[in-house]
Amino acid sequence: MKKIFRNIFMLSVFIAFTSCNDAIDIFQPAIIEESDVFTNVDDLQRGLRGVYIQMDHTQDMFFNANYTDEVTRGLTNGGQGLDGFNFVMASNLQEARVFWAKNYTVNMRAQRVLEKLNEITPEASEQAAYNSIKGQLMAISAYSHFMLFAYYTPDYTNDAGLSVPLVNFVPSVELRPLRNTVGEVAGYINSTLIEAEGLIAQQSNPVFISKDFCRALRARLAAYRQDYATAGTLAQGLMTSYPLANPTQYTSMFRDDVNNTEVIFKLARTVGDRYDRQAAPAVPGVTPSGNGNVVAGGRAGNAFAFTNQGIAGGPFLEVNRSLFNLLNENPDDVRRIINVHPTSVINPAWTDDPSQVGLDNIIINKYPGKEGQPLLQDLKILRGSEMHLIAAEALIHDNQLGQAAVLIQQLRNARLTVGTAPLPVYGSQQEAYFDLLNERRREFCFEGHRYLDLKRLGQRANQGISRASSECAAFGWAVCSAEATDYRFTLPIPLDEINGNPAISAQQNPGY
Amino acid sequence: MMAFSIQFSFAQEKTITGTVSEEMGPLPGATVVVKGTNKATTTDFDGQYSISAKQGDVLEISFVGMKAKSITVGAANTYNVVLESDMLEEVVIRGYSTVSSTKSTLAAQTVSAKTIENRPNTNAIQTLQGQVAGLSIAASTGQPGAPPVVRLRGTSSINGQNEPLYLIDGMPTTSGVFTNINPNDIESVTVLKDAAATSIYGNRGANGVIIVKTRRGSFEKGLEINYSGWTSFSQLQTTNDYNLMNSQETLRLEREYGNGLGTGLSDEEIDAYGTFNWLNYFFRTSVSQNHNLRLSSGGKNTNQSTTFGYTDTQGVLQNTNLKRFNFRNNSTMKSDNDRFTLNTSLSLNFTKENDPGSIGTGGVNQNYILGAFQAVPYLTPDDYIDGASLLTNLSFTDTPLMLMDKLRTFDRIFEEFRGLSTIDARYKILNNLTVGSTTSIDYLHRTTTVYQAPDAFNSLLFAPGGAANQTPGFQQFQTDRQFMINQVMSLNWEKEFGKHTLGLGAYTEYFKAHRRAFGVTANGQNPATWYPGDGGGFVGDVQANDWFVDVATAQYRNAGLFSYFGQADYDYDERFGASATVRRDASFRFAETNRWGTFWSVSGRWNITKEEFMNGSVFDMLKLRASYGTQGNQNIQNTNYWGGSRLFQNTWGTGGGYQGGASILLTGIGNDALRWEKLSTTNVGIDFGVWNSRLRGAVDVYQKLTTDAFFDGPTSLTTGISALPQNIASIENRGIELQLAYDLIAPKQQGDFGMSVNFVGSYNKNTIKDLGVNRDEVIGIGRVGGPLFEYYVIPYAGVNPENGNLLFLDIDGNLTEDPDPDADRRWSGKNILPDYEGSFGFNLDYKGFYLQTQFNYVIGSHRYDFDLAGYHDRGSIGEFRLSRDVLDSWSPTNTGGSMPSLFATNATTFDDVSDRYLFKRDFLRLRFASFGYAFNSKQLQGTGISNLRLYVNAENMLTFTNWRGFDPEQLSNTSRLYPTPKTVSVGLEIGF
Repeated sequence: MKKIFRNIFMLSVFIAFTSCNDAIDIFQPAIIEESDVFTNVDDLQRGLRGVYIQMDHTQDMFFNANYTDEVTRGLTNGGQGLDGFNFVMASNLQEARVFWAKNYTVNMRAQRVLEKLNEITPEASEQAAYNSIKGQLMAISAYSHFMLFAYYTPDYTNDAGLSVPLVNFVPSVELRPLRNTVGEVAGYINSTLIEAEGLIAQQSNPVFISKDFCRALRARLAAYRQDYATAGTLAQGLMTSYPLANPTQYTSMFRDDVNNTEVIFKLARTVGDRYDRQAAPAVPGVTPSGNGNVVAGGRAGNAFAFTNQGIAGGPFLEVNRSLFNLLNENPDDVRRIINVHPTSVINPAWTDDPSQVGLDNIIINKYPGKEGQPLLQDLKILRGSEMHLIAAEALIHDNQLGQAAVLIQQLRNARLTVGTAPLPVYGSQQEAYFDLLNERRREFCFEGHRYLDLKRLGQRANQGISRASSECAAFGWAVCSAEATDYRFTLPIPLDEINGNPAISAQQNPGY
Repeated sequence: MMAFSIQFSFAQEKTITGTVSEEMGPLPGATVVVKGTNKATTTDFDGQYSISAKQGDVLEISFVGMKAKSITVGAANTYNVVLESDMLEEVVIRGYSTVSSTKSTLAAQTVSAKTIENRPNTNAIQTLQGQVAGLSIAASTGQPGAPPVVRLRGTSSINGQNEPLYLIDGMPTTSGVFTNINPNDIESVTVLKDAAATSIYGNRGANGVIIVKTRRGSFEKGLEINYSGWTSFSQLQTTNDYNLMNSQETLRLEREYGNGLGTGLSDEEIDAYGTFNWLNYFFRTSVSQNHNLRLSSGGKNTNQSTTFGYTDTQGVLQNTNLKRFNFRNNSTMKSDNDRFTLNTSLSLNFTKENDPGSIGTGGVNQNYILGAFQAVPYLTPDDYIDGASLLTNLSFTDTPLMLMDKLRTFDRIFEEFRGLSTIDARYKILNNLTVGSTTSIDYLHRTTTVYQAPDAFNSLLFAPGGAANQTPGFQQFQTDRQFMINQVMSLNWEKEFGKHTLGLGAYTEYFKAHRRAFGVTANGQNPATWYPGDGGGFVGDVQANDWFVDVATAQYRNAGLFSYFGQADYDYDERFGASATVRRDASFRFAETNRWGTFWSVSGRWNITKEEFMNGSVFDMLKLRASYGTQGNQNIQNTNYWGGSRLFQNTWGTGGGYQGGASILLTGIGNDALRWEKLSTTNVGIDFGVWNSRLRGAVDVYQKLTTDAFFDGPTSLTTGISALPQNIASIENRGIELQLAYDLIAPKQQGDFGMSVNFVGSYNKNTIKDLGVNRDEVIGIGRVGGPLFEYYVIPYAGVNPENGNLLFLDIDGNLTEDPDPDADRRWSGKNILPDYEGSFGFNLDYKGFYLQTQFNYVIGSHRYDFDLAGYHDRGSIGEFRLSRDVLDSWSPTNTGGSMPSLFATNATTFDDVSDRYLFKRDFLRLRFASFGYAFNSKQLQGTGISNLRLYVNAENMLTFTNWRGFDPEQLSNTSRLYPTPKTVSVGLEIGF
């Protein structure tokens, strides 16, 4: 008996020790080890898509509208965006963090696939596809840096000034960079786009990065940098390839997302994708608790409404009356129709008077939804009309005001469903810039441009944030106007960056 | 003819006398009963008794706190009896006490069944609140059965696991299991605190070990049947102190401010509105029931205990409840020669919970609490028509109506089967060598059913396709199977050499956890045929759109741990003792090179009362203990068994598609240097008993140092990630714990007035020692030298009498309206974790009546009151209810207002970076009171009933606090939480 038990015990001990690896060498499904992740060009293609699906633009749409004069408090507002009206900006706010975190994440992802790509030698037959993937990844890195450059650089034209850290490599987790100069960052963006253009196969593609994307982004960068020779040339060229949409095409562009006459690049969105939600996490380290804030990714229209288009769809942000007045200057402008929902309550007796509180409910209608899904819409990043307006801007800069007026008139005519617009007459560059900025406000409202437009053009146009005073009064405390020279038109280095990278705090932007 | 007088004298009654005493002398008040009769007496002041009995009768002598004794009456007429103290019995009567057996070197505290059973708490852990020094328990929700937050001796990890390990009859498990098991099955709970105690319990015991023993039978005992049952009534605790506005005040404020219904109303119209309190609609007085039946019996070689439990607990919030059926059988077998013993435990538990979720969120259409707390008082339930009518003018004001609709159209139901079984076998190979094996299996099968009716407001609101969709709504089904096995093999050797005793043990422990889950969300419900839980109304996918595409999910997860360890115990003449352990642990969570950790402990004791010089001292027990040891923690992110399994490497996976093509996505950036978090604990303690144990207690002083602490250390965001799990932090917890019990008035005789008081208290100081290279502060975590989770704030300095704006103090102490959220914030020295907590109470006994009380206190804890911020927020005007505080807002005519102007330009901007809404949540609470009557054996004689007790219990009846909100206990800065209720229960306990 004793022996039997002793043997059983020894056996058990043996089993226990031999089975120990079974307890600690655990297989987990659905994980690809880094060493095996990319072995051929098809894999790289999938990896490239994995970077595309990380790109989002709803944060820019929300912020550029909320922080400026595009929106006002909506009918169904539970505090959404109210602080944005206050024009409060500080390094601890999500508004300061979101663009920094989002763009560096996309850049890191692009860089990691690029690194893997460089380890693979393609077959001769795959070389073109391989190059095209490489070019797109490089262009995504350039685009991410451009957006960082746009939000965090105080002065785009001062080459020696501070911009953002340049991460043109796979960042190690220990990376704690300092800011690079404007010249270095702009140089990287520009040269990378030129190299990418040479690698990418397709001239044009509305939903993937094409040669034209590279040129268009270079045009935008050059305009930011006030290098109008480059900007003008690039924009003129693209104007030809992307003629202005007629009202029918324009309507399709913002309704069923089918017509791409004017689309140089947009982020495609469809039913069931990761953004087909009220709020979808898009920024590392933050899980949005709902929509109506700057970190919430999700459907395009969810940046302004809870559930649906129209007045019953829970609009928490509405069209600012000052923007509506601009859109309404010609009621036959397709942009009046596209941007303002028919269920809007518009007070015909409106005057810019604080006593007009709450009598208007002008509902944003740029993103009503498609494919049967309310509020779902592709996110437009670069359009032909932007090239058109950059070309006009370049002409104004060169003081060719008459030619600029012709371009502005062309755009207005293209937008009219009935009749024609008069040729504007500009008495000065400032007047022309002012009109250009208004046209950009009409053309790109809710597309994520206004804040950056005011920052770089506001001073030249003598235009700042100009909200309807009726709506400032609605909140009592909201800022009605702000000069374009205000320090808050450059975002602060976010506190979370300083937490992880203390040395950069010495390089904080002015005013913060 | 005279025969029957004398010969049969043995059958005649005679008077038996004697003295009952204990170790220290005569024992007054002891009960002497003639078994099977109604004859009984008690001993007098000198311990003497006198009772008439026949030869052959059995006298049963008993006294509280003593082991009962039986003597058979023989020829003699005098029987002197010495009763021995029975610690367990003492625990029973005193409410709780420490059991510090002579040879233990551990810092541990045991709580007996008497303070756990029959309490109207669905979760046994909640009952332990305040009973153990250093064990901090905070209920986070009033959801029936939900596990509270449990911390032993402070928070020792930042991102890693902080929960203690629970061992139920040898089975290692987590707090989640207490949602399923029956508190009345528990015989005792022992909390192990220091490294000497916990290190043997393995790689999951770094945060303390809570050992739960369930009731077992005894050998040689007839069938005993016990029933206990109660009915309880619960309500919200004494409601808030927010001073909320009535309808007239609300509507007038809306009119003044220009938003909401009040805007266009005349005074007469406003005065016509009634005030409805939505708290009374969403919350209710809930009635719950509980029944327990236990049968135990034992023969020579086997014994068993079988229990059945049924509970139906209704939450105070509508649509929250828990129903549970429990079965347990614990059996013990042994061989005739006592060499082999086998203990088995089998518990089968069926639980059905209704938990609506969304608590704590700002979802106006989801969180019932939001409706209860914040709904405007001028709406009433009569304003509700149906879900569709709420769509036409979507408005936050309609929040309570949307939530009424949700009550009607939504449910989230968890049905759980949980089987727990332990088989513990021991065999003495040699007289001093025992081999043992403990195998425990925990199997959980959880089915979740969530539905949202097709006519629900939320279904209509979020219907893909909007109004065109005639069949919105969804049903969601999830099945989650979890299988955990733990196997410990042991070999123990013990031998006495004269006054020396030496024990050695060798062990291996193997743990595996498997999870298999799958689920589906069926989108689209036909209103005509749908029924919750049935597929008859499912609408299939159609060509025209993707509205009704169903979504499938599945999970396949495994986890494992392995350890081997040894232990040595030494005792010298019960005077000195020492123990040591050493263990090697491996976890699946680390890269192969960092997988193993080595941990050890040493401890010693000195039983001072065993020394000769202590003879005749007032101390009947005095023991000094000391220990030092290290332990590991491998649960990097404080998740379940499976979470954080691949944090040591970069991982890629399948991502969503873009433009129709699948993608490969970087899913995680890993840190291959991740390794065990290390905790070293030093503990010095004294256990004592004075004046015949009238005063007894224990004092412990400890220092716990966590090094290599898991911390998601912030990275530069330029790396593309915001934080990386690393072993970079170091945290210290130092503290002192005291338990005291004192018999203020010891009953001279049974039935006399007796009163005892008790105190449990702890102080814990938490300090961050290190936050990694180049970093001495992280907002949200704290700074080096400060406590964890220290608030980093701008001080609020009141209202600017000039313009009604808020004033703050900038970093130099100057008043400012426009503080810099970066530069003007400072460390406040305050955090949410209490410095002092514990309980005190008294127990009274008189002639079978008893009264027990337990007051819990928490001192030195701060919390944000964002509920109050909501009641002050002008953004809520026209949509939600506000506090009357707002009526004293600054205005040009009220420049001395205590509240900022409604038009202050810096109103809500700094709410969460300033300390404006940061308040003390310190409180004193009558956590528990019990009043009852226990029938004595005399009264029960001849009824066949062996014990009978009737009682009224009350939980959370009174709270003293300056906290204005609903429940200061909740350890969270989230607003709109489900407060814990107060409960009164009426029960009875009967045994045969």
